[in-house]
Amino acid sequence: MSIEAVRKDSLYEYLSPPQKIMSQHFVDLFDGDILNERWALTILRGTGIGFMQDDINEGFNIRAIGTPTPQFKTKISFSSTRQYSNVGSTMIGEWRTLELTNNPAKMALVNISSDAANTNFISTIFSATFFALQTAAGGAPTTTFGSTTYNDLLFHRHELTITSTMGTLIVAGNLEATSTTTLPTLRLEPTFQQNSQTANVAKNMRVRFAEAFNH
Amino acid sequence: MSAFNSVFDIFKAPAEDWKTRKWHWMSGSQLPTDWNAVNLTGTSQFRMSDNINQGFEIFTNAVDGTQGYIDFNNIRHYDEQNFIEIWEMRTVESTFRRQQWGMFFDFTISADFATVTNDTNSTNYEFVTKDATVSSVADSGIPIDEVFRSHKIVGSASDYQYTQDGVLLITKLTNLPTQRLQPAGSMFNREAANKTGRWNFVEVFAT
Repeated sequence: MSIEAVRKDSLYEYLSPPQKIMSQHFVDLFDGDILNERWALTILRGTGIGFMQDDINEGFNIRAIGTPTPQFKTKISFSSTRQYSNVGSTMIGEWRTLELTNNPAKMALVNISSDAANTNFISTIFSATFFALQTAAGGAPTTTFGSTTYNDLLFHRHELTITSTMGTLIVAGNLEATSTTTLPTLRLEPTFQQNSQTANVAKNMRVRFAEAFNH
Repeated sequence: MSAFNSVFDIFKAPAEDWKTRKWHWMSGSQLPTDWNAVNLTGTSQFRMSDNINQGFEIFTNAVDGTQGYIDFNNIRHYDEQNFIEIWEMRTVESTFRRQQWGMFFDFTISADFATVTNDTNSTNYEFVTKDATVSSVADSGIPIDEVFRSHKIVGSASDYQYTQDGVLLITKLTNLPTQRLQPAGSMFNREAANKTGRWNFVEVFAT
């Protein structure tokens, strides 16, 4: 249905029926001189950087690099301001990776966006060929691979949804994976993170849209 | 019809790409830092106007030739052949000033651009474009004034269209930009008096 058919007075009214409170909601367009102040850029390991990419439709670049091995990590997050529910929230992001190997890149709703291996989160992670849904409840994550081959360097729309009973990953409008185990038990913040598993080799992801909201 | 779940869904289907889009409501305590404010000549103030429906303003010092502008600091996310830009602007003073807004490769050098001017050296609003070397002016036929008007530029491979207040005024075929672009604009004074240019809303998106 086109917007013309349902035109409303406000953005609020597009997003929330009159009888419903909209709840927490944000949108970032990743355009302009620098990264919006809502985000904190953090180099978890290595000497990574983040910068607005000066190219058509390329958004913000997150780069991981370092030496020596093992894994270098750079992320943007809300600095542990966790406003999104672990039992009813959705995150939508459009991003791409610039390298196909040794470069786990992910979009996530996480409780502790740190270097810790085990925390509470739901994420979509690129792994050479497929996107995978990961959910974790403070321990080892459950990984469910999607069925569509995505060994490309193109932007794709990712949608993560977490409820009290299920985690869901939709990529480019297609349901890729669900998880009903190890669902996060703590509130969450949005995060984009690029890793590099090779010393002195830069790995990059680019983000040009992000949105999250509570149900 | 229920509400949309997300802003993404308002504009795009799930299988579509968002590409790049920026909107700015020009409201709040100050201009956000994703904009780059520059004193090109002399000194101007870049500030929110504390008045109803008046948005952001560039307020030049009372020195002839003062010019301030804002842009994305040459972060150019927009293909010159595939974009739409919409904005509202006005001036406060009616004499000896020039306000302009549009899409620029680099505001500080004579490079590719498409801009709308509200200039007291001209009778009407003008639509000016420049390719790598040559610029040319198209007269809109609409007299300059001091009220908010909506402006829209549609950039494509074949032409650039300029629409004011919903009426297509100019389809320009010559001297079209050939390089990536960013939104930008300025206020310039032509006498030793303060001049004020205001913007209520700016939106630009890839098509």
